Amino acid sequence: MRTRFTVWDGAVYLAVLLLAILLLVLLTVSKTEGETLSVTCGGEITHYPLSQDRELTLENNGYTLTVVIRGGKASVDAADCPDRLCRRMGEISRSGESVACLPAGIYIRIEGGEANEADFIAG
Amino acid sequence: MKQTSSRDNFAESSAKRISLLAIFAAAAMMLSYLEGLIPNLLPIPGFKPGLANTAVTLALLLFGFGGGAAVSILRILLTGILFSAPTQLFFSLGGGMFSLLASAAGIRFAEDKLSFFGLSVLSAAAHNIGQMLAAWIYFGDAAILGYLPWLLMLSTVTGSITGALMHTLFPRLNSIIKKGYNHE
Repeated sequence: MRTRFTVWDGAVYLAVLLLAILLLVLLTVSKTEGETLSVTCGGEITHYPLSQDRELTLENNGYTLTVVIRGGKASVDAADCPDRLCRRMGEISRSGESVACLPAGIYIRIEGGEANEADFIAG
Repeated sequence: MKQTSSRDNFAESSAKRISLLAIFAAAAMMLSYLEGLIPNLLPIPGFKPGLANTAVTLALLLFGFGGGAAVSILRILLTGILFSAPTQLFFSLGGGMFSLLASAAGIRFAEDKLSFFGLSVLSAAAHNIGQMLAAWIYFGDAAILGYLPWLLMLSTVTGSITGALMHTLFPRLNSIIKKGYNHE
């Protein structure tokens, strides 16, 4: 390997950052409020309306998560997974927003709202 | 590999090679474990410093592709079984294989062009791509890729840190290992 930073190193940094920006533009989360919460847990997908407040207890991979739907927003309220990142990701309510808990293999995502059509058009 | 005459030579001493690879695999495992103890600073799933990649990339350089692959796979399987959930094993396998191939390709095709910084960022970015593709397959939802841009931006930072580590470690390890071999 070269012992000093080369122009090729710079090209790698630039390419990675450009790819990040490109993906950011392509995957922008819409600003429209969503209608349903889709919950992926243990290979099963379940949908819940956001209009109805409720508390869900999800179990997968030996971890338990509590997902709360309140006032049209969803969040992970309690988790016994090692990093508890899912709790710190806060509330989601806009179409396309999501919270993933990798250790538990649980993924929640907001769907619906007018934004979905626009998402299809954007690709 | 073209520049491997010394590596091939070295590979002849198989007992020594196996012992050294075991040390590298153990080091990779410990680095994985240690970085698991650091609280995640950012609310982005899959973000980590990637210290274990130091051991994998150095093994690729010192022992060729088979050596690096062995260290990477052993590290993923052992940490997966001992410290984490099966789902995470799948994600880290996706990331691990992508970064292994990226490092190997970087060494094979651009050893004379890249420093450890470029090589390590390439490998870190590939890890994130592989990890998120695995998550996409697992969750069946492309929206999980929404984390990828942030992970890629961070990979230039984490890749630089591990690159600096490799830059410091490689000349020392190289001389220790080669010297030990010549003395026999």
